[in-house]
This record gives sequence, structure tokens and C-alpha cells, in this order.
Amino acid sequence: MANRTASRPANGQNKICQFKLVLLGESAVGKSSLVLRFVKGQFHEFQESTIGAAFLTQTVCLDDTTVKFEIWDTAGQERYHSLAPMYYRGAQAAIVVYDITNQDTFSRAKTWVKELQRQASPNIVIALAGNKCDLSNKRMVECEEAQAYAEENSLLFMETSAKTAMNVNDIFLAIAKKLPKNDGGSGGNGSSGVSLERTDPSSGGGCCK
Amino acid sequence: MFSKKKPSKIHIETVKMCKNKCGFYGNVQWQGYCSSCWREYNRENLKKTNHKTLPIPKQIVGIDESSDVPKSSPKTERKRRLKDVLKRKIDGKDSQEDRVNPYAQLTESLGKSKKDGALEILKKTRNVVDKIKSGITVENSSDIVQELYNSVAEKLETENAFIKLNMSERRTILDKLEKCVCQLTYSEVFSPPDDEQEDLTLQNRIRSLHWLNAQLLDAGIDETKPAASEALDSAIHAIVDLNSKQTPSDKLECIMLCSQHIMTALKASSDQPVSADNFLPALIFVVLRANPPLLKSNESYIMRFASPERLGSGEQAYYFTNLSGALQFIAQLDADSLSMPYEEFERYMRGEAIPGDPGKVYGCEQLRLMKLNFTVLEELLVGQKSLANEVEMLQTDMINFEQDFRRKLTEVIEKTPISLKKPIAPDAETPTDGSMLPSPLIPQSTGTLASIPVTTCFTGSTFEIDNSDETPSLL
Repeated sequence: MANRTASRPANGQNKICQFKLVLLGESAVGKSSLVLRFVKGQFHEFQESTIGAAFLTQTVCLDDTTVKFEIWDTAGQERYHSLAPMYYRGAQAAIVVYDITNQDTFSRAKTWVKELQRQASPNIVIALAGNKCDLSNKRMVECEEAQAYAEENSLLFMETSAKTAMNVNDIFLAIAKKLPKNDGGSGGNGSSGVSLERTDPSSGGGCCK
Repeated sequence: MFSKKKPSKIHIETVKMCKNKCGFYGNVQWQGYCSSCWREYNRENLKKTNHKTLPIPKQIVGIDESSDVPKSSPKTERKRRLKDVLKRKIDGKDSQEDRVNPYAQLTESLGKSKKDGALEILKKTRNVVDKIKSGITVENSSDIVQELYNSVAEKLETENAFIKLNMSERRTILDKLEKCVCQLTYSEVFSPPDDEQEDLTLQNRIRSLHWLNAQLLDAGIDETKPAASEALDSAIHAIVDLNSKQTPSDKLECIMLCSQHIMTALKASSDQPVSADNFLPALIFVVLRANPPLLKSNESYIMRFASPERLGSGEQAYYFTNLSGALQFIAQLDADSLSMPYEEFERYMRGEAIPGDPGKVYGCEQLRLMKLNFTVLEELLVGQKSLANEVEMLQTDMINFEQDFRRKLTEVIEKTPISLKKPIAPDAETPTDGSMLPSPLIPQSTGTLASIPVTTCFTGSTFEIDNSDETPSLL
């Protein structure tokens, strides 16, 4: 569905872009912990959503733009796999998470990547996250292997740890940098971010809802 | 409104044809008109009496439709009744709000904009409402409503007439616009026959899946915990309530409320952090448990008539997507999706067996509650006993303390006998007329008297214990 351009007072002359980011991966690989670490960690103010946990938002600042992530978590169990397209429809970014101590979750991640490339919006930015890298003594998926796979498929790749916060903010920042931030986005069909830039300079004040 | 004796009259007078000569039978209850002509007549009358072009209160239409027996075939009649029953409930609930003209609310929100711009929006809205009321298909209605939303949104952004409005005021206008259009056209566009068919299919499907439990879905809800089971009930209540709301925003609020209760139930069930991994299954479980009326109709309605930014992004959109996902899962559910053998699944579906459920070890809800109450009673009993013990202990403590205190007191008194000397009682001799004072400056003053004896007392007082009544005045 076409997103209408909405304006909102900006804290300065910054451009604000809003992006929908979907989180995919087998259950219990730490998708939610990763996001919670990102959202609640010491990184800008934490914007509590009404219900929390499954749907969260967080803002990161790049040089001249403020990127607002709207994070949609999905159920990871195999049986709910067929519902995933409803969630990644219209998403501008996706993080596919696997657990470095579990080879199966890595192959599952590969399936997700393949599906996203085939079915999601063509410009979607995909990041691969090898979570639980604090447990490197139990490692089953080699970093080099995942790195090679990511390069092959031109994905962003990082090994993360929600527990120690390693690379958590970095992966979101990397995605924010890679996302197209020009108003229209690049090339239609709903893949562009919603620009929240203030369009009417005379409309003063107002508070963020 | 109608007299109570009408049933006896109906049978006698039904032979007369409608006064309007439309070919249907008239009825004395409707002043000789047939039901539909009577409705028309009524509508005209209402307009005249109101002097305003207020929309007809929906209650009247609802009642008329249900009494519209002669025209409808038995099948549609049955359906209509079902719908009417559900809809009438709505009308009853929201009647208060219904009487406030939705247009008036929209106009009010447009207050700050220039007159011509506001009038144009109102005119457009009225056009769309009239078009829908003229009986076009739901798909067309949806298209023109979405078009209206988009064009109004664009107008608010670009046109000069609305330049004074800030962001939240624009938002309010769009909200009121949605509310206005949806309230006025609800009975026309909600639950068309196709949707109704889907509702029935879904309802039957859910009924046939009655055996599914939280365990099989990975829902992670522990119903044996009172807090979880309570929150679950609230969630079920919220999703059933969905059908009683008339606007997409209200309906979406219901879904949010339901989701919130589910989160509470999940939090109460385990110490693990709640995530989408167990939220979606829990929502599916709630939908199965609740089997809400006209759920599919409600889903389609929201998709067709919610303003685009509601479903494009944001929290409401997320939880609505979850509900849609849950419905899709329920529709497609098979043995594979529950990772159980095909035969087993079929047996459950045929009702030949019921899967074991740790949450349902007691066979039925009442037994579970009874068991729960027993445990609570036991806990209370134990609590009461320990309380009684503590009270007893406190009592003995108090007695001991008193005895101890008495004993110590007597000891102390024995050790240090106090000999009371006879008081010298200086006060008795102290003259109160101030004659002992050094020559006062103003001898007639009585106001200073109170302070005067004190100074004199000090000079003459001793440090011995003084029993006289005047002691307090010394201090």
C-alpha cells in the first residue's frame, strides 16, 4: 500500500526518514533480545511503544538525517513460515538472524535470505546477523563461512551478541547508512522510506504524539 | 412507540394492499403502507420534523429491516436476522453517539480552516456517502472512500485554505473524516453477503478446531496461573468486542487492547521475555477460544475502509497484520503445520480423540476452577493459622512485657526510695499583686502580671520536687 507522506515537526533542519525493518530467523536465536538491546541500550532515548516486545521503534542519527526504525518481529517457528510475507511486505530492511552455536539456524537463515530476494521489495536492504557470538567456545558456524555467503549475496554481515551488546548498534547503523534517504526512495513499488520531512514551514510547534 | 395490541390487528387487516399501490400488502400498523413504503414515508416525515438533513437514526432502519418478512426468502431472512441481532447490539450501544451528527464533528474539526476549503471537503464527503448509500458494490465503495481519504489528505497538505493547521489538527480532520464516512455508511458496507459466507466458513472451521490447545500451538500460555488465565479472558473479551465498534480506528483499538492482554498473559505465564515467537501463537489461540462473530467481515472492513496510513505503518498496523496472519493460519492449518501425524490430526478433527493438555488435566473448566479455589482456600487456611499463631505469640509477649516491666519498676522503686519533702510552697506566699516587684514603671498594668510572678518565683524556688498545683506555671 502506498504510504502517504506525512510531515512532523523536526528537531532542527534534519531530514527524518522512517523505515520498516522486519526481523526474521528461527525461534530462540535471539531476535527479540537483539532488538531489545538495540532499543533499550544506551543509545538515544528509549521510545516505549504501547505494548512493546514484538513491535518497537528506535531512532538513529546519521550526519544530516534522522532514521526512524519501525521494527516488526516475526514468529520464528517453521509452522508460521507461510505467514512471513504479510510481515515483510513493504519493508525497506530486514535482519536475518541465526545462532552461531547452531548450524540448523544458519541454513534456515539462508532460506530466509533466498525468499526475501525473491519475494520482498527489490530494494530491500538485508543484513545477516550471527547472534550469540559471546558463546564462541560452542561455535558451530564459522565466521568466514557466513562472511563468504554474505558477500556472495551482497548482504551486510556482522556477528553480534545481544548479551554483551557487541555489534548490535553497529548493525543497525550500517543498515541506516545503506538505506536510500532521498525523498522518493529509489524506484517505486512501496520500497521507499516514508519521508517525514516537514513540508510546510509555516506550521509551527505542535507536539509529537 | 407502537401500541401493544398490534399483533391481533395484523391478522385481520393484512388483506389490504399498500396505500402506495406498489403491489405489496399494506398493514394497519404502518398506516396502510407496506414496510418499504412505510419506511420511505417515515424518512420523509423525519426530515420534515427535523428541518435538518440529519441522517436517519440507524435504529429505525434496523427494526424495519427485521420486520420486513414478506419480501425476503427464508434463507436471506435467516441471515439477515443473524446480522440484525449482532448489529442491533451495536446500535443500542452507540446510540448516544449516533445522535450526534457525524458531519457536525467533521465540521467542528475543520473549524480553523478557511470556509470554502472546509465546505468543499464536506461536500465531497457527502457525495461519497450518498453514492455509497445509493447501493454500489463494496469494492467500489472502498475505492471511492480511499480516493476521498487521499484527496482530502492532499488538500490539507497543499491548499492555501488549510495553511494555518498544524500537524495534529490535520490528523484530527482525517480521523474525523474516516469516522464520519464509516459511521454513516456502516450498515451499507459492513459484511456484504460474500463476507458473511466467509464468516460462516471461518466460524465452522474454528468450531472444528476446538480441540487445539495452547501447548500444541507453542503459545506459551499457562492457564493454571490465575493472572494468565484472567488476562486471557480479558483478551477474549476485547476481540469479541471488535464487532461492536463501527469505525476502523475503534476496531483497531480493540485489536490493540486484545494484544495488550495477551502480552500480560504471556508475561504472567513465564519468566522468559515475550517476543513474537509466542505472541502470534497466543493470538491464534485467543481467536480459536473466542470464535468472535463476523471476524472475517471485520478484517475485510478494516482493510477496505481504514485510512491508508493506519495500515501502512505503525503499531496498529503491526498488530492488525498479526490478526490477519492468525486468520490465515487457522484457515490453512493442517497436520503438517502442527507437526503431528496425519492420522492423529484427522482423528482429532473427527472428534474421536482429544489431545492431552496439561492446562486441562481437570476435564472441564469448572473442575479446574474448583481445584484452583481449593488451593487458594488451603493457602488461606495456612495463612490464617500462622496469623493466629502470631497473635498468640504477640499476646504472650505483651503479658511477659507487662510483668517484666512491673518487676523492674518495683526493683527500681525498692532501690531508690524517694522521700518527699514537704513543699515549701513559695507560690502560696508570693503576692500576685506585684507588690514585691521593684517599683514598676506603670503600676496599674495587669497585662504583664502573668510574667511577673515567674521571675519572682525563680528567685525564691528550690530544686526539690514540688507537689504544689502551681508547678506548671514554673516551667
